[in-house]
Amino acid sequence: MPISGLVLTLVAAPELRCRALAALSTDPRITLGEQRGDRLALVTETTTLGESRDLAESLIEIDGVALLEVVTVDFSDVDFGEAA
Amino acid sequence: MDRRAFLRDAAMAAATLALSPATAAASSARRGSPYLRVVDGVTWDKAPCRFCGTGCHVQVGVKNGRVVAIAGDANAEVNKGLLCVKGYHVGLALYGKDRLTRPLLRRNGKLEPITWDEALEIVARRVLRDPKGFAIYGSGQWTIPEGYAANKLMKGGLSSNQIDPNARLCMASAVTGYLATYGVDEPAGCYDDLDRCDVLVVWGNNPAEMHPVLFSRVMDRRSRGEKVILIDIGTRRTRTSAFADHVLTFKPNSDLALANGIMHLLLERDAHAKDFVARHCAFRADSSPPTLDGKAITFEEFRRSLAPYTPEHVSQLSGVPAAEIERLASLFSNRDLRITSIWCMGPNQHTSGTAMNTLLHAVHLLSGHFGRPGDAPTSLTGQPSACGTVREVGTLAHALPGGGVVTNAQHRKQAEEIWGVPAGRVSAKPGYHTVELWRRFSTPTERGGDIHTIWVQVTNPAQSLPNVDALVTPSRKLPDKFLIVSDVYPTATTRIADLVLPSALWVEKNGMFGNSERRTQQWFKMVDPPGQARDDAWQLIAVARRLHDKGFAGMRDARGRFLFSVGGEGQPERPIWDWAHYYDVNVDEHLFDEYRRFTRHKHKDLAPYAEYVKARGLRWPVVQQPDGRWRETKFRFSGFDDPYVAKGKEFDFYHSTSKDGRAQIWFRPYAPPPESPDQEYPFWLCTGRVLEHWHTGTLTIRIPQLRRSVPQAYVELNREDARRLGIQNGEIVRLETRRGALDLPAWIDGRGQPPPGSLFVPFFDERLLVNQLTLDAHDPFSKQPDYKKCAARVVRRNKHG
Repeated sequence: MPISGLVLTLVAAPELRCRALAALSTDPRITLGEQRGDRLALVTETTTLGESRDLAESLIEIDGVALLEVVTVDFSDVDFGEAA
Repeated sequence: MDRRAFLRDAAMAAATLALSPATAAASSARRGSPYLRVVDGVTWDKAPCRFCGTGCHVQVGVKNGRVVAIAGDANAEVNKGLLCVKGYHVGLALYGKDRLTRPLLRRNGKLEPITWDEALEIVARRVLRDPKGFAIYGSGQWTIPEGYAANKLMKGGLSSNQIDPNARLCMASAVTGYLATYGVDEPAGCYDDLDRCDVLVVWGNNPAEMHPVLFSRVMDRRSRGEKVILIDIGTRRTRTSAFADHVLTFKPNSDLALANGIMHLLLERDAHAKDFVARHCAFRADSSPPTLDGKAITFEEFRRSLAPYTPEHVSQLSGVPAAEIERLASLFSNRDLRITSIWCMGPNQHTSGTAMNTLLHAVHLLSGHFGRPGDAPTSLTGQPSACGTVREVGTLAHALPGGGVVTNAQHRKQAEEIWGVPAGRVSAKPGYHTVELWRRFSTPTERGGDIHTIWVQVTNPAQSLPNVDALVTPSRKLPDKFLIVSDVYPTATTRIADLVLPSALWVEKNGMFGNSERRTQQWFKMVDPPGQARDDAWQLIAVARRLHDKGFAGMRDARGRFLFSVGGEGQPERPIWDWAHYYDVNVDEHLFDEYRRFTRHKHKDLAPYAEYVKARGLRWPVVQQPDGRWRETKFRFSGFDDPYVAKGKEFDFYHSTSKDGRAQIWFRPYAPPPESPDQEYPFWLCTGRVLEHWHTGTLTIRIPQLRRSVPQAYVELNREDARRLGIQNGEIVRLETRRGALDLPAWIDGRGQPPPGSLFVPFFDERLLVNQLTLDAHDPFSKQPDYKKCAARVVRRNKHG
């Protein structure tokens, strides 16, 4: 089950930023961390690498998210026989 | 704590650490890509392809600091996962054995390694010798920030407009054609037109080889059962012809007559789009003296001007049967069909290139095939950022960013305000266009050769300029002339240079390109350049700083700050001129977000840099919506899509040269070319590209798969001509023009088939410099030379010689 450490840069508009945070907090695969200014640390935990990629791409599509940076990806316990 | 909890905490700790300003700056400069993902130890990220103006998106796979894989980007709108043979091998372009890795200075005839500190000092001293005689020759393969930095250095710093790009050789007539017709540059339509057209007319280009992914987009529709009529209009049969429903082979230069012939018939049959023309168009003809805007004429004057261009007369001039001209006119008469015309170097590399471009727009405007998806006249670009960097950033000797011109006081004032430089800093006097620039460089100073130094970046003029032995070679015998070249590999130009600077290539640096459909695209640096190779933008900024430190006033803005200062008010200056700190910040973002301030006044709006990080390109104008999103524009001037067309209006050509919202339909007469075949030189010589090689072959000849496909240049001959001259396929022949001679193998019935009396040579091979033979005559407005037609002869070599 891949575990990823990500940093999101949020947009300046307060309403969009709030909506983004709300969307992120409802996803059980996401653990929100510290926020400093417009940057937010978070961890995602998914079943497969493919799901990890899809989740990352869906985060970018959230209106209040300006940028996503992948800091770390751990897939040390992923079985590469699985569909990525 | 169990193992998974430990991994979660570790991931959170890493992400939290990345929140700090130092790491934030570094990561955003180097890799803030939202597309970054790691699969099987390979890190994948997006980038536009390095090669042509189509702007395909690729996925670049990196492992252990090297590009190890390339894939087509399935989510890219341009190419939808497909690449051409060059694109699939683009990663290999970085790894030729002879990459330039150190600055080199010519001493006693030999290039010897020096330090970057020495190199920068040399460049700065050449500037200070006489800033007005120092020029930059740039490129449509510059990234947008690179071109912007060069433009600002010269125009905002040195108060000089002696900067011109190699795109003068490929796109300048397309630019003047758009300006003369719409008052503003670049296509109204986009690649979506290719998905909707019923008829595709290809004028003087070979998209099956030169824009293969776009061509595939149309052919794919056919393979799915759609009916798309393809008409190939050119001076020789090519791979494109093999797919065409109709092939019209015309005598060189008579494309002018063909376009007039279509319009003659539209009017004779009363089949022009009366309502569209009456409401949205005006008529123009050449003025005396000639100007780009010409003079207004009436519809009746336009009609009378076209009277001589009967099908019979046009057929006599062009060699195209009258029935084919009538077929073309019938198609254009049919408003139920959607017709897209695409063109590239045939109409552009033409001594009447401006005229030909305006005529192509005129055919579409007169017939009303404009402004609906699938109805479009569109010139395609060859280079990946001839649009984004040259045309939009304005790296031409007369231009300013965002479509401005140096001769316009308001445009100069805007530039001075955005650059923060004193009023009057930007010169109103245009610099020399490319042919003139190199002519002056190759002329002794005492005879008026007032260009003493040219700094070349990202291009290879000793191979690509026409009549190269007149424009470049003489400079090498003039001791006070100095040639600086920034490049990635040894080329014909580096081999004769005085100073060679090693450059980073493609994903070895951050970058942005702008493609043929107004799509601006971004990528992040993914691997390090080899040795001491460095970004071209850094080289420009470092020279600027060297001049600043020597007290050159032009390198300070009005507040006394360094012209390329990064740091903002009250913040410490970031020493980006020091290579060790260049990637402390994202210099591309800084330059781009300054540049985009220019783009509003001609409605070429660009979004903030961060938007291009998220997207696989956005087509300008990109306008922010009330909900904060950024919306691109696919179809300019059309009320249904262009945000700058007022509600309720069907069309608005808001930069109209007649100041009334109308586009200009031009009359341009047929005129013969400056050099035609005669008894002494009885053949037409045309030059161009092949699918496998990119321009002068610097990159592609070093990719083994591509080199093996087409290992050397050749001369295409017609079978009948070959038989008459006794030439066998593969035999070495001597090709001669009034300017030079070249020995080449003959290729008969190859992929290209010239008609009798015509020859074709590709220009990618640096061992066989066909531009020693070509003509440097150019269009009077665009100054673009004609590589497509000059007079030549073919002589059999002695079989044993």
